[in-house]
Amino acid sequence: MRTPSWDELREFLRVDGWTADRSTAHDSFEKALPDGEILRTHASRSGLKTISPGRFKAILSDQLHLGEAEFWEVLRSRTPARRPSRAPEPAPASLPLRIAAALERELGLDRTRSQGSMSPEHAA
Amino acid sequence: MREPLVPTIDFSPAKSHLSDVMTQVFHGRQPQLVSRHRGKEQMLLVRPDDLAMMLGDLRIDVQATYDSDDVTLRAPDLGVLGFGETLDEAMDDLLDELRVYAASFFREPARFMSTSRASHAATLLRFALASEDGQRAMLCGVPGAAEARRGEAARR
Repeated sequence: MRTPSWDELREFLRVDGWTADRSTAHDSFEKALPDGEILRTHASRSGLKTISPGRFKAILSDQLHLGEAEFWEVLRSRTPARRPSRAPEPAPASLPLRIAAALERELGLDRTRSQGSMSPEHAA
Repeated sequence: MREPLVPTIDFSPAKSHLSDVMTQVFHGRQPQLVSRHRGKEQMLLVRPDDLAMMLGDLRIDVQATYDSDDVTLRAPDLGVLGFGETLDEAMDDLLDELRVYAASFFREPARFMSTSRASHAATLLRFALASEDGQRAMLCGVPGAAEARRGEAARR
């Protein structure tokens, strides 16, 4: 999966017509849809850092309500996305928090895969 | 006209006896409806901690997504995400984002209540009324959540 940098996500938000929620110190953004619904997201200030695949899927499915191809099409065409999405991104593979926390706590599984251990996601 | 089940006071006497009304609501734990224009407009006065108890044990479903270098926590029912390099960092970020959302929601409630986000109101209000420990305890599966919830109840 091709994933954007945070700067590219911010550019997407600009082209897609999102507005910054100035009432918070966080980088929160909102978009009001024609049917009155409100979408919300927030963007890191990490700039050139690439968003990881699971995180990008979560942003697409839970906040932008778009598919991956539609996201890139907005950046390519410089025009806002059509909603509702024709192919919304499915939610990323995930574990209930209680299971993730239990695996990290009880079995000592964490994300330090570079040290050869297994992530909670893989253990589950 | 049906007898109100919750004690009701007209706006003008409520205004002129606000101290007494607040004493009844706070010390007497007596919810009070304040009414004007012959009942066309009403508001409910209630102690915040009593309201939190009335809202009950609302939980926020949280899902964890692992990538090679980070963790994303999703509260899919509310559309809120938390980011971190560890589960603990992501949890702190999720709590911050939930606070930002709750503050935005209750700053402009009419805007959100006219959308499907109206269904978030009870959970966000319960979250907003909770202590920081209580907010953490609302996240399903947080270690020690049950103990924190018992602590909140005991403090009430």
